[in-house]
Amino acid sequence: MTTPPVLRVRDLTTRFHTSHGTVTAVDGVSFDVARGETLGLVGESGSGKSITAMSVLRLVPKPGRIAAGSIELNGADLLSLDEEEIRRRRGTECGMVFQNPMTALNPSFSIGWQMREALSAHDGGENAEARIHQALADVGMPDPERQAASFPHQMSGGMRQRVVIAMGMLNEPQLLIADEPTTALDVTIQAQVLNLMKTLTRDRGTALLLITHNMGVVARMCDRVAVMYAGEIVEEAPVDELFANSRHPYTRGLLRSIPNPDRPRQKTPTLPGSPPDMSRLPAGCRFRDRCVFADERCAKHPDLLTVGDRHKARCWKTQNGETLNDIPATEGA
Amino acid sequence: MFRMIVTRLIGVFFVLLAVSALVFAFGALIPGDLTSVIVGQEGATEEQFEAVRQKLGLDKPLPVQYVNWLVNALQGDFGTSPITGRTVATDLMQQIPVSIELALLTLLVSTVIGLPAGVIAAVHANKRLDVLIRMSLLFTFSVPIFVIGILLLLVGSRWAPDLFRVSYTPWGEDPVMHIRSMAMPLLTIAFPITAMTMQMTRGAMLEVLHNPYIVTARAVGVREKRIQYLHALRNALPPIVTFIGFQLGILLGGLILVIHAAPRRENPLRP
Amino acid sequence: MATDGTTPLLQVENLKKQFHVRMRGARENRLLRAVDGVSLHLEAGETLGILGESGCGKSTLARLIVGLEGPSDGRILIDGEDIWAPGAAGRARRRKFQMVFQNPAGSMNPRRTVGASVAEPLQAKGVRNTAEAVERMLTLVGLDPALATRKPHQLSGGQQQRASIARALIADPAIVVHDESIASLDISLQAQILNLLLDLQQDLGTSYIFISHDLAAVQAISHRVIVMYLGEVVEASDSTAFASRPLHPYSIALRTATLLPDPAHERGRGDTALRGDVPSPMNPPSGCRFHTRCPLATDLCLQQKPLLRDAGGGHLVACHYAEAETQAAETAEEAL
Repeated sequence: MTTPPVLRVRDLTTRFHTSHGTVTAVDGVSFDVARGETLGLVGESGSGKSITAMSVLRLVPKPGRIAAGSIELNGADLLSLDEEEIRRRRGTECGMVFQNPMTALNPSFSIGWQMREALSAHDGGENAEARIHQALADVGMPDPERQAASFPHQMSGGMRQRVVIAMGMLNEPQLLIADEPTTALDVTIQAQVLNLMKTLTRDRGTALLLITHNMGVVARMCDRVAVMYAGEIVEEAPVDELFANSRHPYTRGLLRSIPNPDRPRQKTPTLPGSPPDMSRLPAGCRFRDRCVFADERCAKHPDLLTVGDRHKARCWKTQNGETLNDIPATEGA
Repeated sequence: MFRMIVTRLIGVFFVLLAVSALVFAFGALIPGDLTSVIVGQEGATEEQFEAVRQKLGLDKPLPVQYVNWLVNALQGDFGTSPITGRTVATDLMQQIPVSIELALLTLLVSTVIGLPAGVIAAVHANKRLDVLIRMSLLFTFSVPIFVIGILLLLVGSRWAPDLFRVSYTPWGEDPVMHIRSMAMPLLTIAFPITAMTMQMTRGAMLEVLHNPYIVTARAVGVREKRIQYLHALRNALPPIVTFIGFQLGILLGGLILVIHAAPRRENPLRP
Repeated sequence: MATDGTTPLLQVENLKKQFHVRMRGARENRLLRAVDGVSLHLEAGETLGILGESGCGKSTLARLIVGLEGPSDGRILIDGEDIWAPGAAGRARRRKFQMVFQNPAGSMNPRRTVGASVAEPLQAKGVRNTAEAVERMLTLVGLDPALATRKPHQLSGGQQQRASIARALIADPAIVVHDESIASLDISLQAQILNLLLDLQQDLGTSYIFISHDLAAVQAISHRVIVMYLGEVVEASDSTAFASRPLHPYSIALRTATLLPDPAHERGRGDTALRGDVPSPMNPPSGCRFHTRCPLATDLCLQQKPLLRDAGGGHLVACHYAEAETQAAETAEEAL
């Protein structure tokens, strides 16, 4: 009936083995990204969203290792491929855009050279110059020929990020993974870059896995959202549903933590406490210590279950049909 | 860029001036002077002593001596060695080509071995291959040069007597012998330099390999070896190249002395 | 707040700061006008928000106000007196300022305990027994006083920043300058710290200058707001007026670029982003510095720099087309 998803992740588990102990940064995460769809992966520090993104292309930095699960990209399980096979898919089937444009490009080589590397890594040698100039024009760079010859330090943050996006899309992948692509940019430039990404992915039908901590970005860019906390997905829903009718206390708290620019000098109701120490996770629900709705049920670790139309949540309360009434007046300070 | 090179060269001139003055001054601090070497310790009369002193110009005040020397030096006259009887200039002309050749060869060998060794060590950091490379090279670095030299002599004379010929044969005479004669000093000096090159490369590469742009290169599918030896190494080069340049200077200066090595009170600076 | 003609707590008059910069390979030095004629004032117990993006000079301004650097021109007066008066008098005035920095981990000495770092300003004043004050301050900022014996790296980012705030407040300064002090924290923690700052201001009466690129954060905490662009103030008003009616095209652009957690609204908005990059502060555009990116720019804007003028009710704006803008911007938004 429907086309298979471009990316299908099942029970992904990534661990870090350090001298201080083992941290399970990603714990049994599953999600799909359909063709042309934008899935937002939202969370704060320690949620595991960045490691999830890195795991897809097996770029997890040492001492991290993917311990379990399957990652199907265009039907092939990436975790069962050898080094060369996965290298061939990097950039061609799945591209990546990273967070900090100031450090994402090699300072010793021109950006044209770096883009040519992206092409020749996959035997795309012919017509390289033309393709590079076209790619730069597509991301809105004025004067592509001159830009191709320049070096990263000659460009602003916004321009560098455009180059990174151009490199990510150069080999026309079916999936683009963007890890906090605008966090390091000025707000007015952020708007430009987000618009660019939205246009590009829409025009080419590219699926987009967007990692962010900014709910405004989610509202602007995403079709569906998965909220992560302490290495797990705690809620998953279409974007309108998530904002209007969130079914996990963490999501609810996160949405309320955003100060309203139209109402100055108002206290922002927010979550108490801070994200947990990933090397010492509590038993039971991982959000329990910060949850205003917690009760005895939460001593047992909840599964991620359906609570509505394409809406899943990891919470005993909402799975039981109960609603999250207005949070009692605790404002974390 | 051109301006920078010219400025640096002018700077070199002034540095040389300052260094020569300093060395001259330190030489003056050595007790006694050259006269006693030339004349001999006993059997010379006061007048003979003074006569030689005057002839050498050693009775004039120090700054004047220095200026005399400098004027002569700038004209190419470095004086005559009282011990060998030859002019210092002749001595230098003999030694310099050998020194340069040895220095360049040493650098070539140490870079060709040390650079890739450092890259491999960095890529496999803290694993077996890295530990192996580091331990073996740093062992040679820790052992004093003369011990290595003697060890090589022993080993060489036992296992490959032909390979290690101690006396120098110029290129013109016999190219093969020439290379053989260079082999021993080359090996002696090359080990520690290789170790240092490896260590510097490893350190610089480790820093570079942690950078996000390396991850970007991987993410677009560039092959791993290419990332190491091109994308990463290119950024690691500045400290390594500086180090190699430094080594060249030390080698040139040090080798001249090594070749000249004899415990004499040689003072080529005095006119 | 004080409208009875008394001198404001802080007065900054036409402040300028220039740097001589030698670009790589360039022949001469260029002049970087980081802060180019900024005036502002701050009343006791009030928060002034300074809003701007990179290159606007807000960090330099922060350092000038706190007295970490001296200005190239202009004056900074606290209680009516110049903070750069020579000798002990000037030093005493500069001690009335404290600063909280952006990077919580980097702003504390990693080799000293948190308690020692927090006690420092008090010790600098000559106070000997600081233990009690440290304990009181840590509790006030919501930290367990037992953390005083730990080193900074043993605390989380949010805890480190609370400790920085404790350190800033312990010597009872008149003014605390926050230079992007919450930018590196998680969202839930940002909201916690903003709430904390509001509470502390109510309890202690300290005045804040809150510098940030985040419009929502600035609005959450400020009584009044000024907007900076390339070293100059382009708009100044109280936060309520700024929320309901920003006047300068740049302020409007900042406002529209601030995404709201409302999918329907964001989808319906279309592409209203400002075009172009921020010009280099070393080579600012002629006339109105914003004219290169402004949707309303005309030849007048290119030739003549607009001065800050009162657009009604103390709402200052530096634009030739101030009132016309809000209508034009609203029309543009509706059209999309």
